[in-house]
Amino acid sequence: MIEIKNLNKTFDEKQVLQGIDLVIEKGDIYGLVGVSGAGKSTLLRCINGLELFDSGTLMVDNVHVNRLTNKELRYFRSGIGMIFQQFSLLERKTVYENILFPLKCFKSKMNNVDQKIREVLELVELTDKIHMLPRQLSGGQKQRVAIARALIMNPKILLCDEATSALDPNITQSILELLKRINRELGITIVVVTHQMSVVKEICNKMGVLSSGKLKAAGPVQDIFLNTPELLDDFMGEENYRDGQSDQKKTKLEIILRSGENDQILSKLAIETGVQFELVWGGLNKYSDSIAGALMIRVRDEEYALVEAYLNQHRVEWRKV
Amino acid sequence: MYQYDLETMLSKIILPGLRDSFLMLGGSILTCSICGFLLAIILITTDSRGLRPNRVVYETISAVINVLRSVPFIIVIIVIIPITRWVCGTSIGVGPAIFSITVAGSPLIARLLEGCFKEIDARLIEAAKSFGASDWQITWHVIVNESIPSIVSSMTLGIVSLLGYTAIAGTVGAGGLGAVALTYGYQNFDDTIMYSTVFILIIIVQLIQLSGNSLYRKLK
Repeated sequence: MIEIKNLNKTFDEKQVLQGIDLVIEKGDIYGLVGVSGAGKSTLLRCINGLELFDSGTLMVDNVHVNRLTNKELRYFRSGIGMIFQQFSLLERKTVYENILFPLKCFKSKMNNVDQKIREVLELVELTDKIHMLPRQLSGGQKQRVAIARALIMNPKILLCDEATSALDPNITQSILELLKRINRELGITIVVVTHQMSVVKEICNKMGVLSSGKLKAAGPVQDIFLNTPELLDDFMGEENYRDGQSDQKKTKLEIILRSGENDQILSKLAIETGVQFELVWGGLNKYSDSIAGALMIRVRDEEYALVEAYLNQHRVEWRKV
Repeated sequence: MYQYDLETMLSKIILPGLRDSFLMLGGSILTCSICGFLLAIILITTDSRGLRPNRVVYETISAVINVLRSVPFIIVIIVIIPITRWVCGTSIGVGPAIFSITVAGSPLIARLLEGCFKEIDARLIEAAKSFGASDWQITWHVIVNESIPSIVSSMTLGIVSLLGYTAIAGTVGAGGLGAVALTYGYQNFDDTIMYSTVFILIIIVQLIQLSGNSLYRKLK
């Protein structure tokens, strides 16, 4: 479990992280999102002590990260795997040697090193590439090697820093599947830093939204997307519907659809109230285990009360925009 | 002017000169590589973006290197003659030449290697840190090991420069091909010896460059 309380960090007199409070439970796949410069990568690096912070506490399984000595920090880090956007493999070493490197750093006297390396390679489905060099591999395969390297020390936590940002969409998909499987089968807590909303929707169960060093919202992914979508506008260019021209005589309503609720709400609304409305925007998204979304309609002011009454009566979640 | 026959010229003048040149070159490659490598490691470690930033150490070493690099080698040799005498007992011969070349060549090699080490992606170093590698392990396994191909091509360049240094050292009493070209070729107006030494030096440089290139391709 990762517990962050009132964490502050300044860099060159610029406040990069400000009063961050965050709890990441064991087994979570936690997404940290924000535009570049929001502080999400810095926050991620505070978790394994790659970055120090000025005040506040950050505890990983009840260990105060900021209080570790350099030597303790090295051992502490070996229990946390990390993967990166640029894969960061040793280009002159084979896949095998790359995965071996973390073990070598601790002079681990494992007599079944070979077997262990084969196991992680099997998990990332790269057994046939064991003696290849990184440059002979594709981007997706390189990231798989990096994941294998991150898993070789049996970490409890895996940190992913924009791990899929340099990959094609279908390769991204397969890496995300792999991360999900690692989370499920090995019970490893995963923290994902990304600016890709699709990644968060695909694998995360919880998320935190960072903006200029502050945590704007945190909680289950669906709730954030449905309750505070305005926070996410910055990264969802194509879904920037809220900027549409406003019509003085009409009111915009947003109907929230949680998984499995209120099927056919629009047609029912139209038929049962007889109100003619415009569909302004709509979107359904697949979240890791369910489908949810929102529909936005525009109603003439004089019919607004009618629609309002209908929605409330049928316990449909909605809000005025 | 006395003309030597070919055999005398080869066995009495050129071959001994060649041998001295190789001794100086070999010796100075060894000493300059060791000193240059150590200096480069200290520089890259204490650099402001290094693993253990230390401004004082970095700036001091950097300043000394700059001073030595800014004075032409022929002047360096002459200026440090008292030190050379104190260290080697004499200022004439192969040993003192190696000493002088080390003083002037180590800074060159240090800068070349520092350049190689700087090429290593900071993100790769961060990745190594993330799984708990120590500074020493990062320096050796990541910074040095990953830059081996560029070390080879930089060292090729450096060795050719060191060969030039041995020829210059030859003009102030070190022997070797430089001395041969100067005393027999220039001062004795012997064109055959002059152009023979030039030809041999060209061949040596070509060989150094060719082997450097092929080693680079192999390691890349």
